[in-house]
Amino acid sequence: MKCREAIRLMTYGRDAETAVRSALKGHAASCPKCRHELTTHSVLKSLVEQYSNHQAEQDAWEETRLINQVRARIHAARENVPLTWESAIISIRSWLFAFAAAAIFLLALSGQLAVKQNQSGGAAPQIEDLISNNTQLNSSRDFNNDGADNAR
Amino acid sequence: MLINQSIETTFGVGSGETELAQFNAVPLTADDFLIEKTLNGDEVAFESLMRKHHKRVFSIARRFFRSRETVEDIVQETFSKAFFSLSSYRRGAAFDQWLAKIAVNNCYDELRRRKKRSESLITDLSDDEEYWLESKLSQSAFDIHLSESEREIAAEISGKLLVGLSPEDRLVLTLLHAENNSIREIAHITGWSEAKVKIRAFRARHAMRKAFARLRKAEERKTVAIQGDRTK
Repeated sequence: MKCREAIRLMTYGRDAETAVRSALKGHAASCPKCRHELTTHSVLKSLVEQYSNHQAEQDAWEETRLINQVRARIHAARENVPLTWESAIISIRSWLFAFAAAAIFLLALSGQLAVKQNQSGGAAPQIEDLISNNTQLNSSRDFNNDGADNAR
Repeated sequence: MLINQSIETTFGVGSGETELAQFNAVPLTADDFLIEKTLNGDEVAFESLMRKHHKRVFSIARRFFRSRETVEDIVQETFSKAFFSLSSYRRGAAFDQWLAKIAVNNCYDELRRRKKRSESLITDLSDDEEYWLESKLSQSAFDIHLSESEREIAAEISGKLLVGLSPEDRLVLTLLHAENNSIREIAHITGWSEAKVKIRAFRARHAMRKAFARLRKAEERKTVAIQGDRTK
């Protein structure tokens, strides 16, 4: 076995498996570097194993208490689950606020425009005239430009 | 091995044939039967499942957390999540593994929450702990056995060592070394690919070695400082 394989076994292999143990043991006997590596690995592994073992062995876990607490949790979760239409509204609540604000703004704007239009009665025809004049001007300008392009 | 008859015998169900007819295709377990009853509104059946599996869930949570409140919270959360996801459980699969998966994911979420809140506090090794480490590192790898008092010291060092690791590293190391899972089992539990688990395991091992070296260097610096004070 090569050192690389030994490291691979230390990282992924299960020490509990006899084949892994004997392979590592065999290699470590002839390779001081891997022997040191294997010792450190074993110490670290036993540290990870012992993380929760400092507590006194699990005091009798009260099944009834657990069951009651889980039952209470389940009931609380059931009560807190909103109805389908409620959950749909909750999920789009922020968008609803945005739509409402936009709608209010548009209503206010159109209301103001309507009031202004009523106040200055003849304004609309004047605007229409301006628009039609403007289009006529633009079309004559386009025609002139086309002529100039053709001449070029 | 299936078998309606055995389930009927175990639970004393007379009309089992009709109840279980739809599941004849897959081998059903006793857990499947209890799950089916729970899905039909029988809460007592779910209590039986809890009684049967709570020790395993408790032991998983304890691998990751020491505080009893946290452990209890994770156990309760695991069972309530399991209750609401029972319909997604595939009949015939191992229920304890399915439950373990939920428990491990809960522990992982809690580790990540704690990391975000930066609840980690790295402290130096005490003299006893350093002495213990020295003695263990001088032994042969296959001769490391811990007495009761040594386990307490090991647990203290372990807390200092693991607290600095990322949640991913802790998850992989715990599943690999404390729970003794294979790479394939970890991939199944975490939902990661086997290649990802291998990469994670390799990185986690490296991170733990670094944390270990940091702990020991801090101890060495402390010793040098004490010796310096004495010579003055």
